[in-house]
Amino acid sequence: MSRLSVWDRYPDLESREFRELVAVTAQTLVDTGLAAEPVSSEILESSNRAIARDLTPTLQKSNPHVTDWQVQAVLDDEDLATEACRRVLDEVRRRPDLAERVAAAYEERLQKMTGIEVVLLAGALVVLAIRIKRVRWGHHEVDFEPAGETVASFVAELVKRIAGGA
Amino acid sequence: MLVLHEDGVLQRFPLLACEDCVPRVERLLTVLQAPTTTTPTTQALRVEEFSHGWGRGLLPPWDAIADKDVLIIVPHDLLHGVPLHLVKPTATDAFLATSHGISYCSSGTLFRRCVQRNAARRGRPLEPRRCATLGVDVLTDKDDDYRGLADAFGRHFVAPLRLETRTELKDHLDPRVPTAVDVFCVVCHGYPDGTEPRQSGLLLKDSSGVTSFRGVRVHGDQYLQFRDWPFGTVPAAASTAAIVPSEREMFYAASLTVGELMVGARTMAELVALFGCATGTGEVGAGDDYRSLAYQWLKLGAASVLANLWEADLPVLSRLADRFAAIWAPGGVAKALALRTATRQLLDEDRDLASRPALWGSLVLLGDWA
Repeated sequence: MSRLSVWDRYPDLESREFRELVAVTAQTLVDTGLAAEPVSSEILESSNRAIARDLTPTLQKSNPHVTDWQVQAVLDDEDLATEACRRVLDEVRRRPDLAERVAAAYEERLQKMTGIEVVLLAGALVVLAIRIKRVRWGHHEVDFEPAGETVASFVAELVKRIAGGA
Repeated sequence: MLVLHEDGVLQRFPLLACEDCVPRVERLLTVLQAPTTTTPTTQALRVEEFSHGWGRGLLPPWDAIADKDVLIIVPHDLLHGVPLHLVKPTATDAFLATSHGISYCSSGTLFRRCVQRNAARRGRPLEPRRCATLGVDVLTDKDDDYRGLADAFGRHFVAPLRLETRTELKDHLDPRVPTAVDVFCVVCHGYPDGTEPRQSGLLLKDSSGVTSFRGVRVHGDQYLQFRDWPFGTVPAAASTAAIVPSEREMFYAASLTVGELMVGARTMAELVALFGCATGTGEVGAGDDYRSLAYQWLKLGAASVLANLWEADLPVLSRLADRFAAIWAPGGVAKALALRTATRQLLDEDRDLASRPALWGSLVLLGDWA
């Protein structure tokens, strides 16, 4: 009997499983993503402050009043950051080949004698989802570009919530 | 670099220049010890560059070591924790870990002490080695897997003793009561604390409602009894939540820190196997003292320690540890050579693993090689 994939249980995951899935998805996007500018794994270590500064110009295309402090507030808020991550993960899940690769990486991560992932890599995941146009590995190539626009709009909406509906 | 041969001949060889070495070592250790800050592809690339490339600059010429069976590596400063056993010293496909028995030790003095107290070197009696095992996962619901690895290791010894708690383990480290255990196998989470290495520790469990006391030597042979509190608090992420629900009433997560082992603990074990994430990771202190959980076990009396330099892959570690125990437990083979043979067998059986040294290379032998 084959074991259930993490996507079979998604989104009903425990918080530590969710953080693990977010981290593994971000790693997979760094490894496979093709963007206009090269994507470095350093983004996985970036602070929410740094990521907010990076992300704000993109979000200002849909809402010119967005500030980097508001974006950081979204990333710092556990609930809003989780919503943002879910939106990206939903997009990944819609692409079966990519979802399968993420699930395999997640399974491999589970084999490690590691501790709990305590950081929700929401900022990195959102930036990667917005920047990456296509993902490619081996003979697989998957179009990811439309996902970026969806995610950017969604995060801009979350910023509005932080800003009190402005 | 100094190479001291068994006949006392000392040779000097230049190492990779510092300006080349330092940034590369830092990058390598970062991808190995903090894997969530990078990607598996980047990690594999960095290890590959090290194994086939610049890592060779940290070893003496092949001719100087080719005829040796065992290399005892005493690293200095930033080379502590660098997995030199993953270097491929020649153009062949063999890692140092498969061509030589390897043992690391943080200093020559500590190595001499390990050698002097190693029962295997004193012509140990023919009675079989006694092994105590403890496996517990208080973080990620893999208690059965951790326990399974500890049990599998213990099965290679006669009548292994199964420990459940931190208190039971500490009972065997009481300095006043010589323990009959020759081998400890502990499978659990380790947590390195780079800021305060004494707070690095093992995450174990302990029994609820049980109060134990420890004798602490105050003068000569005089001991005072103190209540046995852990020296450190359990990291916030480790709550009782992950302890099997049926056991939550009986156990809670408890740590065993380096600081605790520094006070009132002693062992004469031939080998302590610390299977867990980063049990061999540490920080360089004053006088080039590499302070880690694994080395603390050597300092409190163990002759040798098996530990992981970064997070271990459980299935691969299980296979490697099982092979090692099968070769070493019956006696007659030195630990370093047993680990070399176990590694060879593992890589011969699974060729894919040879291209992924980060999966199997975290396990190292520290202290005496015999």
